[in-house]
Amino acid sequence: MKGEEYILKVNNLNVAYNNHIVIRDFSMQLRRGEMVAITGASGSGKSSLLRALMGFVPLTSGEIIFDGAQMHKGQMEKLRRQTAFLPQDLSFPCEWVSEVLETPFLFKNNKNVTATKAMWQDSFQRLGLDEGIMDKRLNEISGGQRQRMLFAVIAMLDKELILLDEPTSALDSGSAMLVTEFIKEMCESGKSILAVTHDKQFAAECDRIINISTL
Amino acid sequence: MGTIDISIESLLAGLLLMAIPVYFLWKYRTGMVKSTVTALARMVGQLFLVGLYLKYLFLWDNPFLNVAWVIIMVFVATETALTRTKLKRSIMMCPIMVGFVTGAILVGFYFLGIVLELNNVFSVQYFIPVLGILMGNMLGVNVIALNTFYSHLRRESTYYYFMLGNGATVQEAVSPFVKQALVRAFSPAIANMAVMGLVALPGTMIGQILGGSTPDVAIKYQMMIIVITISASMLSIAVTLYLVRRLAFDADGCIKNVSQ
Repeated sequence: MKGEEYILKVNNLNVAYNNHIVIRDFSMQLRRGEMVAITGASGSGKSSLLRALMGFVPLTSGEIIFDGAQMHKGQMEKLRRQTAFLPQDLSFPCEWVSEVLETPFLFKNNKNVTATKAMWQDSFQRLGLDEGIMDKRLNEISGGQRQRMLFAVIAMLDKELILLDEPTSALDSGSAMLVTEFIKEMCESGKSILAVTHDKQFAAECDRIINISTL
Repeated sequence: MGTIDISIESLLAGLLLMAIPVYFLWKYRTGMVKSTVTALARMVGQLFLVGLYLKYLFLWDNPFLNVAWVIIMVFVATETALTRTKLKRSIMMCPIMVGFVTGAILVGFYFLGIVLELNNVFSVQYFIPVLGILMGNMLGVNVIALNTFYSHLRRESTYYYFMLGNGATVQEAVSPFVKQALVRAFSPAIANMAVMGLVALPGTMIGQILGGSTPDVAIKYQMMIIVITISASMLSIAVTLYLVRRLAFDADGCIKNVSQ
């Protein structure tokens, strides 16, 4: 365990698109090994918050402190090396499931990460997935299967901070329970999880809930 | 063996063949009659102008004039690529132009100097046609590749950010989109190469034979033209996309708006 109690601190964050403010004066902290849900009405800026934390949208003002160091514009790759990020509604520019699963492990920043067959089997089993999907085309599997297989990728990347956008949105209740359990196990193994969600059951399983609309 | 000239009367008689496509386009109310007739008129006008200035380029055979002409071709090709891709001039002009120049110079001079072993690589008879055919092909490939690259990057931007968010560098995150662009842009040329001479006799070869070359010389030129156009096109799009990665994304890898 590293010295810093908080892996992530967000201070007075403001984000605007074309002069339209989507996040106003938002602050929060995330402890190591903590699982926090961000809730709020549609359009309240939940997804924009995750995108801002990853450096995908510019901040109007405010600061992001990751692992004790303030992240400045142009340095976000430092943060991304130690994070895993699962956005909502992914569409893929490739044909095969195996391409999607294998690609993140080919990145230079992930070259020290090992993904063995046994690890894939274990993750797939815990997520209720058949191993056979690895040999299928993406259009041959359901949206829920795609969502769950990406959780296997995220888990095996073994990053300290995991940001999830609506992790249970494409899932039926049984799969949602499996995924929630899977995420909780990642958290118990020391990962810090920040998840944007509409799912009250998922939010109830988190250590804390931050409602972005009431800030 | 020289080429038989076509008189103006004969040329007009030949152009009359266009009545066949125009008739069917009119009969089936395609709405393309006006654009076809306009395109035909433009082609005739443009080619007469090209014939006129090529006549003087050939007459003077001046290396500086020949190079100046190629520079003009690069500017026109860049402008055409920007118009057809609807990309922002301020960001995309430099990558496209540098791509064209790199492909034309490296492959063009390799062919003229090393393959043809010309003493004067600027000789108008070779320099202008070879650089011209390279520019034409590079333009077509760049337009398809850039359109494919940006349309997929816009449509699947979430996947791009998914990869960045999981440790990819910009280069790694754009590689699936580069792959798609290359597949789309080069598949027709590679498919054509595979059936060359079987399905149809290619243009360069026909031109050479009509110009008086023997078939064995014509096929060698045809092979070389296919190889140099594909090589130059690949080189130009590789350079363009490399520069695009540096200019069309911000310091954190976010996609800049490059559409006009």
